[in-house]
Formats: sequence, structure tokens, C-alpha cells
Amino acid sequence: MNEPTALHESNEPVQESSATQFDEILPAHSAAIYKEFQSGRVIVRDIWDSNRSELVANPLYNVLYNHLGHFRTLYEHLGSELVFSENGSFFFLKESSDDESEEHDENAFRVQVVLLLIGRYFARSGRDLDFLGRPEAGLNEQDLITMAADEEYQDILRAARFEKGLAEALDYLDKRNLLFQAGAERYFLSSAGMYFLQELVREYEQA
Amino acid sequence: MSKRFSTLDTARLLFEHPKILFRLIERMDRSETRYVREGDLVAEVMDYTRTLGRADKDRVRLALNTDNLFRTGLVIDIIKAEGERRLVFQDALINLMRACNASLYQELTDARLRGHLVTLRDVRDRLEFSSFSEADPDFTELRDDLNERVSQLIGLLRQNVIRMQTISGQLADMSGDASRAPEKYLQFRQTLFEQIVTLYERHIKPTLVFLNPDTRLPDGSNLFETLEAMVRLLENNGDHNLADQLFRSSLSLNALYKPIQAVAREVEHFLRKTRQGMVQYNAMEHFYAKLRALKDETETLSLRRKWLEGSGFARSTGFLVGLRARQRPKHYAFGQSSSYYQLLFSELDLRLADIRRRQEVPVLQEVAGSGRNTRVDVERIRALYDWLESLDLRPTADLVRELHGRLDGFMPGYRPPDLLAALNRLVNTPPAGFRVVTTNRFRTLETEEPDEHVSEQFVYRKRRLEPRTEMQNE
Repeated sequence: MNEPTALHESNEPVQESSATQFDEILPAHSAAIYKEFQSGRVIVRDIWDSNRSELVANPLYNVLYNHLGHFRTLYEHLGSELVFSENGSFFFLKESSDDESEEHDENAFRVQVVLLLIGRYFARSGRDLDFLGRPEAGLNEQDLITMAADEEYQDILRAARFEKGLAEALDYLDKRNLLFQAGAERYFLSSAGMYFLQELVREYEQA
Repeated sequence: MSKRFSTLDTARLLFEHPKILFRLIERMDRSETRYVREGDLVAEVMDYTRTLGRADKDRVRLALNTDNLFRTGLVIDIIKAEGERRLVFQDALINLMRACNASLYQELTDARLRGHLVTLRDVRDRLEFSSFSEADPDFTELRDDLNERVSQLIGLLRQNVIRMQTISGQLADMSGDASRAPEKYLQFRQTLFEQIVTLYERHIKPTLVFLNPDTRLPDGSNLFETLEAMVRLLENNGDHNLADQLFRSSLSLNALYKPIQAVAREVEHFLRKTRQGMVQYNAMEHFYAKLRALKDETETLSLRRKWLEGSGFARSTGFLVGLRARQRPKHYAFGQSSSYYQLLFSELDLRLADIRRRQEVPVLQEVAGSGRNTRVDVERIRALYDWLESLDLRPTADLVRELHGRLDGFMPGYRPPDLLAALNRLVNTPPAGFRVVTTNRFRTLETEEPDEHVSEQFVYRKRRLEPRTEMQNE
């Protein structure tokens, strides 16, 4: 059992410089950001407001963006690495352990698998991938039906531990802010989701 | 061959099987000649008739025989040159054929447009030294010539715009085919790409330059400057009628610029998208192939390989590597007040009492999933309920969590759904001296099962257990 008072006392001689950095940020904001990261989410610049049916600026992204140095240090002290992608306009928290275990890559892989399946399906349907990232376009009901009917996609999803198939996979992305649901059966990718597909295209072009 | 066809019958056969001449005209346009090589004609006819029935085959072959074509006057000349026979078809026939197939309109190439411009400049030069007298046959002839040239040019350009607009529709159709037949996608895209590039570079761009009033040409005035110069000349010499007419023509020509520009923009967009689309498509296929290879590995004979080995794949792209949800650090609600210790000790007492009755604890039957076998479920719930009834309870703000804490890991085979079901009876018949208050607040109960990767969550309504006496005092 630790004595809370003792802890407070030991924290007293805090350096002035870092104290001012903390002063600039509302604890509520910082806590909200921490909560997002804790639930394994990516913080994207624009999030979907389902009430207004439009993309709105994510205040948490701006807080992170404006105090990048502070948050980098903060999360470094917490044993993680704050990763910022300027092109994809998103932040995520990386476990900075040099853990070579499977589990370390598991989430990244599952996200990548679903995004790649979506991207591949979309490109094959003859559409420009850019449309995947637009709220008014994206995947429609027919797309979901077609994708769910593809046996190979189902096999791959199952082997990536999405036993319930496409719906579960989309939900998985949705929970992590990689994709938004714009309507009953309509989805589109967030800037972070789009970034992955664009990176694949770029990598392929340069290879 | 003794059998002959009349001109009408031959022409009728030609239009019944138009593909032969369509292809020959295409070939003629491509090589920019005004004749058809006899060898080409024979080859085309043989190729085309291969699929026809016997009677049709003979009839078509006979009709398109060089002798027959020449005798019926559809071929007007046969030239022998460079060791081959060249057939010159009647212009009327060729033009009629072109009219039947939009793609056979001769597109305006840079050279042809230049030709028209040079003629117009020539007319302007001749106008400068003209008499502008109605009595002078030279002038009236020149004026008719001018009218004809300008209207010819407008007609030609207008036809071209229509043709360009139809081809963009054709291209859209083709790309539609491509999306419907993914196997042939690449091939489709390639053809599409080539066609659009040709159309754009050879026809649209020159036309656009030709019709742009701001174009500077190295060898003289552009179309509108030429027309304007003529309008001015005619006005200065009092021929307002013709000047106005020419001015209106230049307005019409100017108006053609916009639709061509629209087509150009559309095609340019198409071109960009096509290239982009090709890259995107290939990139997706490339990485998907890697994923499929991983999947194939899971389909080997080894039964243990059930999941994809995605580590290498994930690292190669690097996207979101290391992303994971973390458990929030647990709060340990240690307190120092006397009530905290009272609560702690009463809980310890209750748990100790539980342990003393250990041998009486019912064993709940294991079932794979709740709800599969109702009878077993009912038995489990009854056993649990009997146990709950015998328990000593203390007042608590969250009865479910309290009971869960006392059962989890203590009663063999216990699962939270049993508790939630058994609780119903406890609510209706509360233990002596207590009452159960059901609140409208919801709480979740999470089970932690280290073996399984899915932990279960249960949502329940918070229920308080209060001493009844206290209530009566209030």
C-alpha cells in the first residue's frame, strides 16, 4: 500500500520548464487523448459526425498537433512512442518495446488485411481508390454484399481471426477510426485508412 | 466465274456485310491512301467469309471479286504499281460507308487543318487585290469560293466535335466492360489507353490549337486573324453583307472551341485516371498476391496452422505496427477511514464463512454454452439460487459485483449468466432483513479468461442491497 501523500511530496521539485508545458494543455484534453490511445484507436484529423453527416475537425488531433513535442515526451515516459503521419493526418501510439512477439504485429496485420481486401476489391471494380475516402462515395450496400460473397476473401478474413467475416472486420476498423460508417450500409475510409492504400500504391510505383 | 451481279445487288451485299469495307476504310485511313490493295481486299473477304454459311460465302466472295466490283462501277480505277494492284473505290460509296459508322469519320489531323488555314489565307491574299465589284467575275467567283470554304470548315469541325463526343462515350463503355470482366481488365485498359492517347494527341489537341483565337503560328496569322482581316477588307470596300456573314461564321467557329475544350478536358481526365487506375490496380494485385501466399500456407496439411502468419507482412508495410489497446492501470481503492476497514473486515468474515462451508458448495454442471440445454441451465440456476439463499449477505451498493466476487473462482463451473438469472429470484424474495433496490444504472461485468482471447462482457442493472430496518426508520 503506497502512501499517496508521500508520492505527492516526492513530486514536488518538478522542473519549471516541463511544468509550463503541462500548463498549456487542459488535463481533460490530455486524458481524452490518452483514453483514445488506450482503446487502440488512431487519432485522425477529421472524424465523421453521424448526426450532422459530415466530416468535422477532431479537436484532439489539434491538441496533439499543437503540442507535438510535449506529447512525444509524455508518451516516451510512459513507455510508448507517439507516431505522427503528416501525409495521412493521424497519430497512433506504438508500443515501443522491442517485443518481437507475434502479438506485437497482430493488430497492425489485421488492420492491413482488411484495408487491402477493401482496396483490392475497389480497384478491381474499376473505380479510383480516391473514392474510397469520400463520404459520399466509398463502399455501398452492393459492394458489401459482393465482398461478403467472395469465398477467398472470407477465407482470408477467417484466417486473420475475423470469424464472423466482413461485418466483424469492418467493425474492427470502425472502432479504430480507420473507417467510418456514413449510412446504414455505407462505409468510407478515414485519412489513416486511405494512407495505407496510398502507401501501397506509392511503394509499388517505386519498386 | 460466269455468274454476275448487278451494281445494285453488289452494293446491297456490301451493305449487308459492312464489316469488310469498314475494315478496309480503316486500313486506308491508317495508311493515308486513297486506294485499297487488292491483296488486302482478298484477305479481308476470306477472313470475313470463313464464318459464313456455304451459300453466303460464295455469294459474298463473288460480289467482292475485283472483276465484279470494277464492272459494276463501284471500283472506278485499278492502278498497277509497285507490283501490286490498287483499287480505287467510288467516293460516294466510301462516304456512305463512313456515314454508317461514326468511327470512320476522318478525324481532322493537324495537316488537314493546316490545309484549310492555308487556303483561307490564300483567299485573303487574293481579296486584297480584288476589285470588290459585283460585275467582276473574278470577285464573285472568289466570294463564292470563300463562302464555300468557310461553310465546309464549319461543317467539318462540327462533325468532328460530334465524333469526339461519341468516342468518349465509347471509351466509357469500354471501361465499363473492363470493370465487369476483371480478368481482361489489363488488356482493356491498354487498348483504352492507346486509343485515348491517339485521339488526344492527333485530333483533339490540333483542333483545339486551331480554334484557339490566341494561338500564335510561326508561319502567319491564325484562323480568326485571317477571318478578321477579311471582314475588315470587305467592310472597307462596302460589302457589308458578306462581311457580316463572315463575321457570323467566325462566331460559329469560335463557339465550337468550347465543346472541343470540354471533350479535351474530359479525355485528359480520363487519361490521368486511366494511368492512375492502372497503377492502383496493379499495386493492389501485387500486395494481394502476397496475402494470398500467406493464406495458402494455412491450407497445407498441418492442422495447427490455422491463422495467417502476418508478422513479416505487417512489418514490410510498417503501417500501424505496434498498435494495440492497453489495459488502463488498475485503481486500487485503498482507504484509511474506519468505515473502509469495517467493510473490509465484514467482507473478510463473509468470505471466511463461505470457505468454512466449502464442502457444501454445489458443483455447477459444465455446459459448453448457456442456452443450448434449457434443462441443464435451470438446474444450474436452482443450485446456485439455493446456495445464494444460504449465504450471509451484507449491505452493498452493487449486489451483482459483490456476489460475483464471492462466487468467481470459488464455486466450480460458475459463470456470470447463471448469476444474472438466479438474481431474478433473489430480487423477488430478498433475504430476511434486506430489500433489493433496482436502479436504472447499468454496469458491465468483464470476465478475464486467460486461455481464450475473447473476454466476455455482461451488462447488468445495478442493484443495491439495503437493510430493511434502516428503511423503516427513515
